[in-house]
Amino acid sequence: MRLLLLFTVLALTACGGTWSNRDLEFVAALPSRAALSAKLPASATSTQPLSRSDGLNAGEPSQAFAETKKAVTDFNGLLDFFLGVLDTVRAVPPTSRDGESRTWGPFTAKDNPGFEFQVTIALIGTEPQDTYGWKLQARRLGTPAFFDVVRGAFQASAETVRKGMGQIEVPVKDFRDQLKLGEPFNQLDSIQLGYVTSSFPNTSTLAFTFTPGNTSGFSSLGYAAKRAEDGSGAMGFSLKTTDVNTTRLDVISKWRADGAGISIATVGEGNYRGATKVECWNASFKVTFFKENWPGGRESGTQADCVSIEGL
Amino acid sequence: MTPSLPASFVRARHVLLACLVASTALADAPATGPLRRFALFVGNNEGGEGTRPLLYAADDARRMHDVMLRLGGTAQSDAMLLVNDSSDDVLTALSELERRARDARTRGDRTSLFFYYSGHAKDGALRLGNTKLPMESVKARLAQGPTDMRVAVFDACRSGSLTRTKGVRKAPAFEVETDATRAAKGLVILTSSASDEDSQESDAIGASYFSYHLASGLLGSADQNGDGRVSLAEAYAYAYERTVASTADSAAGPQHPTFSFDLAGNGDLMLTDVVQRNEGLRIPGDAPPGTYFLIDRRGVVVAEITKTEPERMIALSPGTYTVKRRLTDRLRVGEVRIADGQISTLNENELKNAKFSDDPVKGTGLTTVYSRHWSISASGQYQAIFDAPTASGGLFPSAPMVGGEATVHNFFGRGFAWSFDGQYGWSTGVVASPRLGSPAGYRYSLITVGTSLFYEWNEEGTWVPFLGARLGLSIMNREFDEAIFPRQSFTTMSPGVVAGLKYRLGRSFGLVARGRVHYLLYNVDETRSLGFAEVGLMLNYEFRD
Repeated sequence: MRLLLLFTVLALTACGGTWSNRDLEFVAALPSRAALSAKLPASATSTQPLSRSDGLNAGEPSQAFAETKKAVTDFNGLLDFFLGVLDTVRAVPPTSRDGESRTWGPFTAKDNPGFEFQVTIALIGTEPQDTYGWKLQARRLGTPAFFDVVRGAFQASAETVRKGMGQIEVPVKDFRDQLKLGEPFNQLDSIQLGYVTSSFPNTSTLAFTFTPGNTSGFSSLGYAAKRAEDGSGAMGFSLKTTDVNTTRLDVISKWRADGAGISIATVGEGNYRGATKVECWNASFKVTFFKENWPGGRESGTQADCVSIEGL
Repeated sequence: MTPSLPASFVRARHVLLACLVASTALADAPATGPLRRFALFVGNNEGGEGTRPLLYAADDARRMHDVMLRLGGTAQSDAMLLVNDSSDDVLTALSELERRARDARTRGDRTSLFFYYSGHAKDGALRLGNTKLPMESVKARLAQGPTDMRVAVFDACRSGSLTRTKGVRKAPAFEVETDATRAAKGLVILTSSASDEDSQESDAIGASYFSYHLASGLLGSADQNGDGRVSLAEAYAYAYERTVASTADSAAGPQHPTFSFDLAGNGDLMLTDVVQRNEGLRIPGDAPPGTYFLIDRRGVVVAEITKTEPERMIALSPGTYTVKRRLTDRLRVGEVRIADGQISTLNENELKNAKFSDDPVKGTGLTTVYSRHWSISASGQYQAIFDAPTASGGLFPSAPMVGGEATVHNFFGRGFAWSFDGQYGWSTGVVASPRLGSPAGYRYSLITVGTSLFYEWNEEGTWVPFLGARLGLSIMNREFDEAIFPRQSFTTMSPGVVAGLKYRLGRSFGLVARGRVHYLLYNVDETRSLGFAEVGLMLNYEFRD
């Protein structure tokens, strides 16, 4: 009889749970790394050995593709910084539910002892489409007020909350003095991310604003990634430096689903303004065309062998 | 207190009863009008608080009712059978019969009343379920009754020991006055046991020993003088001897029936007329002497008769019986059929030799059936949720389930069982909402554990229905096909009802069809009262001695 009583008490206290259809809507409204990351063709996962020192000759492994791949890797790595936290939080059900909002946490911040953080998302409007606002916040243990680490807004598409358009801001300058950050972030003032997933091509743009006088040599850095429905994609970045010859360098790379692509690097500002380098590669990531447009620049292959990628 | 007589005085006592009845009874005196025989038969297995249910008291009353109607000259309209009724019902029935008896006497008829009771008695009262009927008031009522002759038979006692005994707790004796000095006239009282004894029941005969032997005697076994009729004295003498013999080796000890009387007049009271019925089994004079047992289709002994030199007659009701005669080294077994309104003659030569291990007496097995015992079951069932389909916004999908159950039968008394069960279910579902657009598919799993209290009817039968309440704990989980969605779970207690029907495939195995209906409270996104129903089949195995 005691066992029965114990069983009953335990069972009664165990009632409840995380079974919520509505939670899924909030979870789907949060941006995910998988949805916003740049994706290279599947064949690009194999490493191409670079056997040459420059991109002079057609038929040799493409240096421009290797740089594109690195840029994509860097871009995705940056997304990991603030979307990775969301992915981690999203893996568990919300801690609390309050009408049209959901909160995960507070959780102890492992990388910042003495701090805890929480993620909150709320449905803040329904016209013309559902609009969500969300925040990743932190606070020192024992203090009541949270401060924003990442904040975002998302407007769902008319069809589904899984797709839409959103903005994310990381106001590094506001919390840099409180949280322990890695070295690259100590030289940043803010990170801005915009994305559109409601229509193709999906786009994600990243913009970094650096602290004046930082040691990286950059004042700002921007990425833009696009993904088309057919698997083709593009990655562009623009960086500003203190080098008077290449004050701003713009690079745009595009690729087809089979891997063939083209990269164009242009000096946008500086003494070498207008200098352009074009490199095309085939599905085997071998150079098909290479050209530098400045005097004495090199050229290899036939321009007609370059792929044409429209809409990106 | 009713003294039990030493064995050496048994025969003398029977002679005494016969002589007293013969010299004083009014019953068959030819000088007066026809005898109108009224009869009231009362049987109640339940004795209320402080007792445990009997197995055969109600059946004893039915059996005695049948015998007296077939052979005792009692018209159907003059007999009443009360099974598991209250003391008020008994008194009402008695009043009605007394009224009819007065009417009959007014018309010049002689009258008799046969009152039979089988059930519990405790603290000086007959126990009829949760009602009581004081013994003294019954005796006084009978003593002052309007009929010329009153015969009361009480088969009741205190509870007992390891054998099936009439179950009452240790208490003052069930006392029936045997002192012949009382002033009441025309009353004979028979009791099944002495004041300090238990009255025992037996699965082999499906009855209490006393009532079985009394009924068997009335069928003809007690016809000592071979006149084809069984008198009160013969019936008592036979019941006494056979009851003592049958219980001599029982764990509860020998049981000694008693009698008391207060009579005036002369002549004996004939209780049954075997010859006039002209229906039953005749054991011819040339059949080997010995005791012949008559066994019904259930394997239960319904009568026995000891054959000596002359032929014997036993007034069995129509049907097919197995006849058994026990020898020192073997059994003699055969089958006889009693046709309606005919006498069949046993041909002993047609009986076949059988080993003792092939004894056709199986007994009712009720003692085992009603004992506390375990059973286990393997189940397959389907759980249907009382909610919209998940594809239309519902919360939980319906699912097939497999599981097991352990049950303690007769745990809280006869028929009341307590069970514990566990099941595992699985299915798939989708979450569909306008905001999500395309549905989110998931894999669903369900674990339930529960405990049930239920009552089983007709435990000894082939079909055993049951009904009760259940308290279950449900633990649901779902894992989504899309990695962005976290695993979700829900745990809840759910009260419900359970009902079903068991079909016995044999002594131990049974097939059970079972249904449950439960309440389910959901309280995460909102508070909603849901429910679920489960229907399934179980293969059941009972651990019975």
